[in-house]
Amino acid sequence: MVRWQNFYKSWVLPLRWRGALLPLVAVLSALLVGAGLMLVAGANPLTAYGALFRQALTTYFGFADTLTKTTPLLLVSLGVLVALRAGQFNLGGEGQIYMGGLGSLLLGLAWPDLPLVVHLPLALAGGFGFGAVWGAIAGYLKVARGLNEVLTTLLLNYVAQYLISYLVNGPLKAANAPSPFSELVPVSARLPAILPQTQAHAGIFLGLFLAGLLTVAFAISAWGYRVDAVGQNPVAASYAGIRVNRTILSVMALSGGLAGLAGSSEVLGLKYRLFEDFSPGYGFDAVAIALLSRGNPIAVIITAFFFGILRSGANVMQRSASVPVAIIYAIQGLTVLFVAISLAVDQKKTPQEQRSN
Amino acid sequence: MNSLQLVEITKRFGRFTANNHISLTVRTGSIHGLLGENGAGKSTLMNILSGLYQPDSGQILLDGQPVTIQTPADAIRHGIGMIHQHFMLVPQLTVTENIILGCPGGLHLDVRSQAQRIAELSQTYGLDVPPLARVEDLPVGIQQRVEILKVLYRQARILILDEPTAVLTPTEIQSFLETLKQLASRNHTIIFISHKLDEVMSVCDQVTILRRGQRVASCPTAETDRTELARLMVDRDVEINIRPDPQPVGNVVLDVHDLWVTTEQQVDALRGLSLQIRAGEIVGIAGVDGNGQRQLADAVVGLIPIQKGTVTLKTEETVAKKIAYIPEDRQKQGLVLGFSIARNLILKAFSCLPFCRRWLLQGEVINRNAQQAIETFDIRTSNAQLPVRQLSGGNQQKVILARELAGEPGLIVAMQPTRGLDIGATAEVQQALLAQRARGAAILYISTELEEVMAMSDRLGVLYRGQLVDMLDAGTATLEQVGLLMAGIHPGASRGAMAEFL
Repeated sequence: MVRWQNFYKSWVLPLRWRGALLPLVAVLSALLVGAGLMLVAGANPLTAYGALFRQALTTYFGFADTLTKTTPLLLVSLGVLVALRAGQFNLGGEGQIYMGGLGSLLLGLAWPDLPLVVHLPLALAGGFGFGAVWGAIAGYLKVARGLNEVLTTLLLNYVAQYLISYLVNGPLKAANAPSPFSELVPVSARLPAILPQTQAHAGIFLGLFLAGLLTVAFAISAWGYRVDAVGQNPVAASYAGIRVNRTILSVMALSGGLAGLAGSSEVLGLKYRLFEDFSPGYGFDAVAIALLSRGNPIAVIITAFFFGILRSGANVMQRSASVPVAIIYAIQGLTVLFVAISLAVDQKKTPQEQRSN
Repeated sequence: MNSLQLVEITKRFGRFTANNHISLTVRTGSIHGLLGENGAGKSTLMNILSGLYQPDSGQILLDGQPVTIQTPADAIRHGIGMIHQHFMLVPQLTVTENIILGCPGGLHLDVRSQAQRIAELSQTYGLDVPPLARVEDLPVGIQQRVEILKVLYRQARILILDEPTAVLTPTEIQSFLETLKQLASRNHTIIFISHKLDEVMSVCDQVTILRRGQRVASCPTAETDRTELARLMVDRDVEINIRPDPQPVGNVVLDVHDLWVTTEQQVDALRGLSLQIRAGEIVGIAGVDGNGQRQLADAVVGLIPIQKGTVTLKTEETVAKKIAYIPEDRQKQGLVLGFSIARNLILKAFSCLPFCRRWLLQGEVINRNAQQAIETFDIRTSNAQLPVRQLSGGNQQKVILARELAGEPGLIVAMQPTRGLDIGATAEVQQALLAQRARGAAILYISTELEEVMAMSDRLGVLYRGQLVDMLDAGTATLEQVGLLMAGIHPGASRGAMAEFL
């Protein structure tokens, strides 16, 4: 626990230029090692990366796909980030995504005849609410029973994932469906498409708006001040009369809610149904994204977009440069590893802050 | 014969010069005092000597031969042993296990014969320890002996002691100083780091004073006195621990009656403690650390649950009904180190007017408040946006004082308010609290620094195992009297006085 705290303090807090440089170095190093892996696999890294970035950024459909992948990443990363600012590690983004998807589906199916302006916000709120409950369970276990949120959030992932599997195989399975998926959400609860003929949808605007809102909230609101105080020194916060437990509980709920919105955006914006295993690990990518962004919501936009590029360009890279997609996952993993390394290097360079006098 | 010489040692951290061409000569078999305020460079110099840091320039000579000390292991090989202020012992292990920990040996460990050796060693030096007792069961004074035996066992000839008396009771200090003299008589060389002038004067042969990384003086203790040393340390006239003039007291502000508090480990930390503090009065609480001080402070300000009894706060109408709390550990409990000065100053009131309006923080008000606090409390900083992490201990404490004393609190609970501060900062903190007393605040002043708490208080309570063993008039109490009470030895004569006050 202490180690997590130190990690959090030294990594998330310093938001300076150097702070932006280190994640960049980590990403570049990961790409470099990834290039090495490609060479081993017998492919030309330049061709492969070229194909990846050209596809993901310069083609109409590729760019739309990048946005589609960025949307859930951005939302769930913001959730992880909020928890991180309060000193909590939410590794349960994945489960909260599933619960959010469920919540949105249920409210989407419940009233098929509502107008869009009412129905869509309602369905989104359902996703937020279900995710928030899932996050709050871990928050409650933390403040009331002292259970480490790293463990509980992680384990709740499985509960959520299997719950969804059960539901789409059973009670929520669409009539005559050949494989496990639910009924379609009505048009009135769907996030509108934003680029014609592609899957890109308005969820990205929701993510951008929330990132902006969080930036402002952390900069100038009393709420942001309280969350930061609790995150950086819960002991001093409680000595100053801040209700630390209540703050942690509410932040965990908010964190889960934001992650839940990622599930909503998948169900209401992309698939229009609830599928088994519909999240390809966005909740875990989010931990890397939030850490790389060092707790800064604006940086999360950039980092989530970068991870979106990797995910969207990966398949084309596989086809045109015959590089296995697994390399992309390796690069994502390496990025996290290099973040940790750069952190260790950073700590070694700065002399100890408190020497005993 | 000069056993140890440091020649022109310089050490820089970034642009900050911690040691600037410091030279030091220590004779074999002498006790050499190293005096200086916090940040004067004492610890850096000793860390260089014990191999934790490498000097940027300069030389270390042992018996005239230049040596390089790259690691703590090198230091031990050269017979240099460091005893840190915070003990480096494993509480769950026995004395013997702690002493032999890390020493080279084969696969077979014969604890019994090692214990025998340690018993002999402890007899040779008059450092009585039970070799097979677990360290966590021993009093602090004995634990310190274990630390000393640890370096003696490694055949250290030069012992560096970093503020060794900070954790001891007055009686323990006496016997500790005797031990030092005995070690010196056996031709061990001792470097004694302290900022307690009395101890340095009584035990050291020679004393060196550091100030801002430079050596300002070095002389035999016989040729100097307390006043001169203090002046050399701080380079200005400061006086601390001055007894304030008596003043009339007001109504009872804090009334603690039969207070029982249990810790999370189900230990009774406070056992039926009663106490009253009046407006304009400082009640000091003396005692060895860990006798319930923390629980008393936390219970009075309402941070922890009370098992039994009452804590009543009766503030006068003119004084805001508010408690100021200066916690024991300013970095852990008092400040958010990553926050700026301005943000730390609103930690208690950030969600209230005028700092917050409609959920939004009022940056301008917050900055103005910070500017004012920086001027009033003389916080030395370039600007209010600096993270408090970068401030010195004294300035960090001033930030806490500025925050807590804002709004004229009726009751002030000060827990070790000058711990780890240098003389200059100590004087400023004490002055700030005395000004509050003059204003009419009731002050609970808890400290393990006996001299300080005796000087600052109007009345003095001694806390021992969760009970106030006595309440004395601080003006007439003697050090010896309080020292005995702190050790739990209750002279029958003062029973009457106790009954009178409780």
